[in-house]
Amino acid sequence: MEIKAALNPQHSVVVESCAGSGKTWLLVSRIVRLLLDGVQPGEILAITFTRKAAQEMQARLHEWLQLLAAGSDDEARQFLRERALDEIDDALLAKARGLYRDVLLAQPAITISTFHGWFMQVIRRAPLNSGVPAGMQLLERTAALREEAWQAFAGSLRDAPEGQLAREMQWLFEKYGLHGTRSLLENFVAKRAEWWAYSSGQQDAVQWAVERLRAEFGVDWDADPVADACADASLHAAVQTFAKVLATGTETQCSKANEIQVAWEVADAQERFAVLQNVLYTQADEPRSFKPTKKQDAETFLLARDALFGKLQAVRDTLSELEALRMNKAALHCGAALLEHYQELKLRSQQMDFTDLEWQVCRLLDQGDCAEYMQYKLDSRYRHVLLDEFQDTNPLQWQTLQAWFAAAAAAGSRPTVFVVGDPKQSIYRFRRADARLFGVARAFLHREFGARYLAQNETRRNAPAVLQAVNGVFEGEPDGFSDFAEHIAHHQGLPGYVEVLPLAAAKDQPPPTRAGEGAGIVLRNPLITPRAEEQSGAREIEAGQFAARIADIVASWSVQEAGGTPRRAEYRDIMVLVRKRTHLRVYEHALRARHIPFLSSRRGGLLDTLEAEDIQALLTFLITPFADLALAQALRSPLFSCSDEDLILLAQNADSGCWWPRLKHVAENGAASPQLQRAHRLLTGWLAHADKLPVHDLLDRIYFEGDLAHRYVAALPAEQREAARANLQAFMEIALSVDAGRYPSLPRFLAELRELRAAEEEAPDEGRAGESDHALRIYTVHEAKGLEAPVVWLLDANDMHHKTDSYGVLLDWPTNAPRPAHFSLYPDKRGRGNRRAPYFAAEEECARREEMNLLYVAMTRAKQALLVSGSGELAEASWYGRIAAVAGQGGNPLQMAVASAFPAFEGAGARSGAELAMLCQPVPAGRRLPHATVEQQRGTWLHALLQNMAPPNAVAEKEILQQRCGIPPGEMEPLWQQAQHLLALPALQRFFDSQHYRNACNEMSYVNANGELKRIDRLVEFDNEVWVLDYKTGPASDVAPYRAQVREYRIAMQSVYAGKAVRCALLFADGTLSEVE
Amino acid sequence: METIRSSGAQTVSAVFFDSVARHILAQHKNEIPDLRGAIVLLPNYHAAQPLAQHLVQAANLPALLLPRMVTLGDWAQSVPLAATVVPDTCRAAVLYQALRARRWFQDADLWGIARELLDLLDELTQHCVTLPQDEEDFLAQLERAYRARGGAAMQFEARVVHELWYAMSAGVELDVARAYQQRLAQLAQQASAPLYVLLASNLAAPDARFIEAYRARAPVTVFDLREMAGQQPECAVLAAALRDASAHLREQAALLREHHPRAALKLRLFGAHGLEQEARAADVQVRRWLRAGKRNIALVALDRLVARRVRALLERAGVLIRDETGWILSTLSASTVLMRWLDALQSDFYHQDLLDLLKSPFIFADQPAHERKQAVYQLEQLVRKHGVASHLQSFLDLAEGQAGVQTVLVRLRQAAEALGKGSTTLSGWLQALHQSLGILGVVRGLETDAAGAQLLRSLQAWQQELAADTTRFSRAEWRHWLAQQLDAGTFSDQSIDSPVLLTSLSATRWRSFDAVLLLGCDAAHLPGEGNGSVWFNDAVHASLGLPTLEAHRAQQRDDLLALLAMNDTVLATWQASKNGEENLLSPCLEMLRVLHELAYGDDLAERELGSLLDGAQVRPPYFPLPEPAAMPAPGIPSGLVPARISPSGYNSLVACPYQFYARHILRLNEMDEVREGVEKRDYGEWVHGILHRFHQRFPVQAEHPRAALEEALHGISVEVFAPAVARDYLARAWLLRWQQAIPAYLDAQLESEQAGWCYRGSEVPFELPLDDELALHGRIDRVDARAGECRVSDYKMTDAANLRNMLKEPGEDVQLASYAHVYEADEAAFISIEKDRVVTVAPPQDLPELAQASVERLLEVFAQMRAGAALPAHGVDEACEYCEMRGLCRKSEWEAGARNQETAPPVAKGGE
Ligand code: SF4
Repeated sequence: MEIKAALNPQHSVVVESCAGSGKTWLLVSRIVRLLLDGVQPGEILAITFTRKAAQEMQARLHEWLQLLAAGSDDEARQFLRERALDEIDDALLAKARGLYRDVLLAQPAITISTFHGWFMQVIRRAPLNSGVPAGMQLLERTAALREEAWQAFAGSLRDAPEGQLAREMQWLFEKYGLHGTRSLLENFVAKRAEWWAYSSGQQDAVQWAVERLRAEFGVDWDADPVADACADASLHAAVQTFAKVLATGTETQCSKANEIQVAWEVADAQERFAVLQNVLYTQADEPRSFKPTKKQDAETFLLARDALFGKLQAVRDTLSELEALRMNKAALHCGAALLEHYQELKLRSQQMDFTDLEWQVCRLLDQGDCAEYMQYKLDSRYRHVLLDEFQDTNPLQWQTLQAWFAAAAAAGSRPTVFVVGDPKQSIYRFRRADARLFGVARAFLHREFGARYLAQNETRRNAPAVLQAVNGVFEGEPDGFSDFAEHIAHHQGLPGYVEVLPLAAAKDQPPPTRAGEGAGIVLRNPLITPRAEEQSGAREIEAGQFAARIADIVASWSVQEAGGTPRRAEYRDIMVLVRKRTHLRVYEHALRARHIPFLSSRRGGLLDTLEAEDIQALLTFLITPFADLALAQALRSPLFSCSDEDLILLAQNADSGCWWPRLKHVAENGAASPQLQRAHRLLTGWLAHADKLPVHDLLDRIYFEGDLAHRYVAALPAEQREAARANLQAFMEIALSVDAGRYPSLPRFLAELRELRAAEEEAPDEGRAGESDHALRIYTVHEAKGLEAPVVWLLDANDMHHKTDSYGVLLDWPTNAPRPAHFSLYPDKRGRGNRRAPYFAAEEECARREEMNLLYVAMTRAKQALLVSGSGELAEASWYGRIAAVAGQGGNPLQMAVASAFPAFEGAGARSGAELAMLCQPVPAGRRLPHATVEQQRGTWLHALLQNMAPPNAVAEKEILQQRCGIPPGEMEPLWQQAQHLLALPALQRFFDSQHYRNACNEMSYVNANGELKRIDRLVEFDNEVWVLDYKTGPASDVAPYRAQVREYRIAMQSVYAGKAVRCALLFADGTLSEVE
Repeated sequence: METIRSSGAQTVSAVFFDSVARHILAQHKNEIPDLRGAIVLLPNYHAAQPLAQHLVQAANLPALLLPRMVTLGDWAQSVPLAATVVPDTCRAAVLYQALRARRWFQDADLWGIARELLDLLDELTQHCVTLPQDEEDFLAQLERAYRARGGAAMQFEARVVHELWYAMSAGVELDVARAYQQRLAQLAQQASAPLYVLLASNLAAPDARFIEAYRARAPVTVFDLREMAGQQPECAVLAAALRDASAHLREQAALLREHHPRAALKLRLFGAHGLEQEARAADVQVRRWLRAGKRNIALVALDRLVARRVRALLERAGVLIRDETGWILSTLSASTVLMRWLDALQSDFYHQDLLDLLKSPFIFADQPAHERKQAVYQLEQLVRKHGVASHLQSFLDLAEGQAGVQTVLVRLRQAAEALGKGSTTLSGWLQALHQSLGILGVVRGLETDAAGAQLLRSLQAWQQELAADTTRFSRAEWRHWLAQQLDAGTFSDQSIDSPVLLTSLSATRWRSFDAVLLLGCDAAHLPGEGNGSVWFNDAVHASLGLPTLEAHRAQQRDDLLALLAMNDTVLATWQASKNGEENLLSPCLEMLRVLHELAYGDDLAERELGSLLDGAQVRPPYFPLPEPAAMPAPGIPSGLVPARISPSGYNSLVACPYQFYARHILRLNEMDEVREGVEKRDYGEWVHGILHRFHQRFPVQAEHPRAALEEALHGISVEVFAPAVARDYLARAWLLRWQQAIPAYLDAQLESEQAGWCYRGSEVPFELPLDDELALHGRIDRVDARAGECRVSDYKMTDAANLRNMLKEPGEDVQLASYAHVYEADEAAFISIEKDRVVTVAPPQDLPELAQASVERLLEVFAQMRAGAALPAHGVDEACEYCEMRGLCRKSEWEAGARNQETAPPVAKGGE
């Protein structure tokens, strides 16, 4: 591929780029080239699919610009040459060197974002009258709200049990049960964007859609195909003909012929048809096979048979269409109603989920006026758009982009567009991505933007050995993989290895020893003999082999560092891939049994881990002290590590009631073990705080006082420690973020955890162990997208059982159309009817292709070694079968002992050793101030009033005074009275009436020689003396305690008012003035 | 009080203050020691003390009367105004009403829009922007600013702003922003004293205007820290990186090396992986500083979450933090009680809201806490047991005879009445709220809490401010309003005095500390984005003369510069990775780092701290750490061995003795949950009940026409399901599911009758002594008889294959064997009832023999148990999957070890 063409900032380009070929390199290089070309950062919009990828891109850009800014001339030139810049004059170099700062400080900044991130920016600036609700928050987890919507929907049905909706719902329940019905409707809601697109502009969307389906299916509501057929002479003839032909055959055939005759005699048409079907179709609803015997004339026989079955099938098809229509009517009505509830709930809480966001943005930009407005409403004006992973784009996003481009053109600034992607890696159909869009975009961009198309099939990632397998599998163009071009390795010398392990087969189980036979039944004694795990399955054997082999890999393989030097393979070099998570447990079991540390991507697993459950149990107990089981769990957890003897002791004290009083009882009467006593002590403290402290603070106290992390580490086997520690931290972070939310409380926190737990897919992930972890990683292929590892193991690759879709939405969205051409629902494989067959076929084809894409992604993750294992009978079309068919038998160049690359442990050193010891000790600092009493507070207020009511600048208005002194309304009146009274006292007039003195000053600040700031309440200057007044809040008392303070004032003022006498007095709240000598 | 640092070399901040002090003294040398004639404008009051110190030091006198040192806000506040000022709460209400009347925005949060609009109007005021009289002119102005032609969207934007701006500024009353301006104008008019201004970043427009106006009448001297820093060699690298964008890094680096060959910047950067590590690093660093004798340490919180975590970690070591930043009212538990009360009202006392409310420490504060707790736990137990989801009256019925609970509920009802329904004014609502809170004892509770007291004060203040407003609001509208108020208000906790303080970047202007920790310095927080307005865009803001985003960022850069210039011990931390994603350092610091590395070969990374983190945790008093987990197998004292057991208990014993131990010896159970929807077990129970009733009425089916039977069974089913259906529409689906099985069930029944079996009874309880010490008890679903033979059956709502599997291995599921023993039955079977399929599944073994073996084993196991045999946690995965005791046996902690003991590495003991 010509890099030069790809990076040319003047041209739009579409790059189809194979796995490992450095898409990010290309994309970021292009950004650099754009910047060098004088493009402002704010004019660049780069969109990719995950936040992680966006962050990586941003980081890479900064790293490179920094290199340009800080590197030597040679380095910088070399960098630019690599990016196809040949003539590098000084001006260009200078420009390149300045980019770093320009980009870092640019305002508006460069936009490197996900679609959703960018959509969010757009929607925040949406025109106020566009109908996009203002001030929406993005809702990332929708499960709880969907559940709420479902309940609200059910509630509305309960309130109108005879309405049309309720009747439709009843129909669905009868057909598909509660579970099926809900799946159907939820799937409808999940496809709401498509639904909106499909039905937009329609007054009564459901009515319209149903009518369209009716026309598509070619049936009438009142059609009765059975009656029609039974009344149809041609069917009658076909039945008779076939029966007659059949009657000339074997005995069985004769009796069948008879059955057919009898069936046709049945009077009632529906019944007749049913009986006929019974005779002619198997239990599984397949046509029974009828074959001509030698004696019969084959041609006549087959003609008669096929004529009859053809006619029957036509009727059956019409019936299916009718049923499908009926079902769609019910499901669309109910689905639309459910959807309304869901949207309503979100609107009420001012939230918007990802789909809403996509839809709203698309809709917004679809309105020419708004689209144009958005061009200038955003602070950034994009002139260059870069799109990464384009194969993952969905039709709505593509439409949005098109609308954006069109509006930009209308606003007179058509951007250049750079698209990079790989249809071979399109695996997100379930997120509504459509890989066909890549071709569509390519054509569109070529046509409208003159975009060049380039293909890149050289990979920098995989070793030739791995590529050989990849090429082998895909050159055969399996399952619609028609666009494969041979991949070439950039690193020809990189040692590689591909191995397909023999399929694991279940051992022939010895027949269960029937000790019973003859000798009577002898049952297992559960106290002595554990039940045998049903674990002899083939998959378990595969798992065992897998774990053993992993141990071998870390013991004796080597992998290559980036620089080319080999080092010992470690757990973290191994990436294990599964297609789905269903059987993960089996493999994890095997790893655990060998103490192999692993990080499983079991998404959403955090709250189900034992440590997280322990803490939830503890918190539950703290807010529900009668939760005995929760308490018992906390006691047994490493937090308290109580033994079963401890529990038994508590069980024996049943008289005391619940377990908490029992614990109290035994702790107080001294019967408790040290563990129980500690538990009692700590729990008592936490119980007292549970309703007062914020959850995070409570948890922190528990973590700390309970010495939680250390205790878990001590109790757990080595390979589980890191994970447990990480999970405890992750749990803490949930508390932290939930706490930062509004109106927190412990019960609400626990309720939220329950919701999160129930929301499977969206539940919080397990904690990530630190960077230094040495664990093998298990991913699904979907999660592994964008990742790579020296060694990749494909597990369970012979499995062909894939869940078939049911209760889904069937869509036909032609790639260039603004809306789907077809939208309907289907329950399962059966009952789909005939008319939709092309759509189903198209779907299936896409699914098969995607299955191959997944394999492509999986295989290309491997840098050096690819191992494949599976179990059961060889399935040639399985991943295993496909790779096995092409894998050669080379030696294993990775099997090579080299020294471990573990850095020698760096001791913390003696100095820090001593420091550590010290740091482990508390350093008390800070203190809680005593609460001001009401009296003290009143004193302060009175003080403040005096300051403000005494001249100069005296304030007279009561309200202003109250506000300025911060006095609560209820307190003001008496204080005000008192202040007025004081100021009016005749004896004090010489200090407060300006006729009597030369000058006065409230709150006078000075600084003394020590640098201390001091403040005098009131300083009054007379001709030959100066008075310092100090207000005291209480009634008159002894002046002795104030002497030192007053002395300080006197000395200071004496230095200032050198020529005058300085006199000091205390003014008490009762009006007493006491001079201090 | 702190004395002037006397130690060694002068710090940079001292140089700054010293030059300010000398300048002021020089200007006022004739007035010394009385400087009261001067005014110093401070960014905050913390700068007063060092300035005073330097003044007295430079003057070298025993005392100085200080200039007036004041912040501009306070100074302005001291100016009395003739006109009254309309509080923002009233303006918001008026604006809301205006928006409501105009119906411009459907579905929108009008309070939110009103807030945004008020902000915009205030900004316009502050920046003295007057909109043209004619809307068309305004539109034209916008078109120019947007550099685009105006379509409908722009027209609408112009119209909203234009119309409301005129509507809102029509009155003679002052709003807060205009009042401030008037005050400043008055101050400037009366200007006479020389003014000294300490500056660290650009002033807001009104303030800057004021300074100019003042300068016209009296001398003004501005001390701009940015410029002062630029002249200070120690700050050269700072100025180059943060202020000078013209030169290239390499040139700057070369110049720096040439003019300042020694690095002087005392900043270190620590990139953490993850939040916890960042917090740990901050915690350890602060404690190191404390140990090193630093006494004035600032935590500058750019990321509040981390700050919160750090605070907790420091508290572990006994370090309390003085917090200068505020807490948003809505995040305080004091506000929680209030909102939960409103939630409970709105949801008709949905049990979760209700219990949550009652568990708040602020409610019923007029009675002892333990009484309230006792009542709420009682109520909760009732609610869980009876599954009551909401309605106050239902709870009252439930609590019949429980005086404590009743009192609580009655008070709730009174309070609910006080709050009423319908619509009233905002202050009317607030008053009613206060009254209801009074009835609930919440007012009392809040008063005892600093945050609570502040909340009460705020509520009262709003009520007072709004007293004159007559707009009526629905309860929902008012709630929205209240939520917004609580989101906007803050509470600052002043109850702690400490050498360590938590503050914000903008509050550090002109302050110097012994050490500073900048938390959360990633690109997302520094510079922070601020909350951009929905009105217009940056270009329009610029052209109208309103502040732009760039100004906002520049301000933060300046603040950072000032902080780094004023302080010579600074650690900045950020999360270099976050949830496995890269997370970039703040561009300002990034720039500084690169320049510093180029110039001095030092990338500023803090390298010591990382290795200290794990070992430097403060631990609680020593207590032995737990042993490595192992499979539990308790033996139990004979006194605890149960005297009776049910078949399901026996099943549990077989599946896992430990599970049996937990359930039946410790007698631990999961708490009941209030279930709002129908679940499978309800379904099972109801079907049992239906069949029981049905067979009692129709013991012999053959005697009745099939249609009648079907009808009767349908009828009974509808009756049994009726309460559930009335409560929950979805229960119908379950009813239908059962009804679809009815024909198949009747078929199976008929077949059984034809085989000679007669119904003898259902739901039959039994208690059968097996020996002196053990009895078997339970309830049999169904018994049939046939000529001296007996058959026991159990209904199951699962598929037959599953049941067959359960029965495959003898003695693993003992339910049927137990029934068979009790009835000395000849046949025993599960009846699998599924949608349109009813199948009978019997154990494949010889039944009497199985029953016999099963009882013998039971007796044997019990004998062993009494003799002290251990009850191991022997469950297989299948048993464990739904076992509620997994937290007790802790299988996942030891199972790998148990299976593969020989490969287990020795577990290192942690601890002291
Ligand atoms: S989880 Fe398994 S081992 Fe543990 S008690 Fe339950 S059944 Fe027994």
